[in-house]
Amino acid sequence: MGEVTDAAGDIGGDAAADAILADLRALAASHDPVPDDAVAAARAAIAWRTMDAELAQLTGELSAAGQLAGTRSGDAPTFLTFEAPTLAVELEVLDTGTGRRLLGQLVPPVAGQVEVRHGGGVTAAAADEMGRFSVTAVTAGPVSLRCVAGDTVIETDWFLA
Amino acid sequence: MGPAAPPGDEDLLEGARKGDQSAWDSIVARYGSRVWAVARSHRLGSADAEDVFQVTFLRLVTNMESIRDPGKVGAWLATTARHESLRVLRRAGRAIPAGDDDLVEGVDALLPPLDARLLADERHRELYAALARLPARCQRLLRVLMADPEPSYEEVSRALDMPIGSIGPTRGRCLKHLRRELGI
Repeated sequence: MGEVTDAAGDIGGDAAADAILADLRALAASHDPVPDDAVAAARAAIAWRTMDAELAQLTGELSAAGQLAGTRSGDAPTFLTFEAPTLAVELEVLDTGTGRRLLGQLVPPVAGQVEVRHGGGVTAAAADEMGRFSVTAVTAGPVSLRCVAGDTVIETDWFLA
Repeated sequence: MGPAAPPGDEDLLEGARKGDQSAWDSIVARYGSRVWAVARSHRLGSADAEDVFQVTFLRLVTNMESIRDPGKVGAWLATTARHESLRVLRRAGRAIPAGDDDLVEGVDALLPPLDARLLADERHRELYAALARLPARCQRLLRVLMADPEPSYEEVSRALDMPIGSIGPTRGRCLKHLRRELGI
């Protein structure tokens, strides 16, 4: 491969640039590696894999953060919609200070069982005949809901609550 | 007979789809640094970056079936890490990094704070300080490129929402700028 010069005639600049980048990479590797507990948590993620549920994708998101006068951004709720072909879930996520509270609605409105998978474990709640449910003490961080209504089983994609 | 070639992404994804733990561990090992670099390039502190890291890999578990081309796993992870990083920024009411902003924010969260005890290597101190003097768009790009292994240009494009064709030239300009800051 021949030498590459740029407009300023910087012969060998590519090799020097590559060398700097290699140094930067070494800096990141020694000073900012992926934390061990993050790697461990990511490895454990495969345990959540199930084969019997439809995936409900995030299709709507509204965060009121910064839009409600007088509130700290952390106080404002977030509204999320997850849709699978036959069932959807609408969620309001509230910051309680020590964790999260979820207010949910199955759509179409139907009774069922909801399991909230989160950092603190799995918390179950019943959805009433209007499809409404409420779950408190959800650990902030990655969350996914598994909803069973009749023969329908859906799991929402993971999101950060 | 030489050592067997490491499994390709297709084999790893196939294994992960079957729930094979070691295949999945290899995926995390292969892409972890790149996902972390995307979160850091958005200036997320450790707690937020760990959340983005974890939710990105959880979403890979959930969405594995829909990734038809195993060669696209890296691009999918880069896109997902970016989206999750932006969500964190939006919810915190923080500014979203824009294309050509020259607002220099120092190295703030791109890398952990400089701790003289930990950064004994003189060379690393110089690099860190020089990086801090670059425009924000260079810091973002270089932080993504600092992953190991280095991301493909498609992955960089997804991570930073940059046109692929602009990556090479911007990389060249930013590294030249860095060399000037280092005086070499």
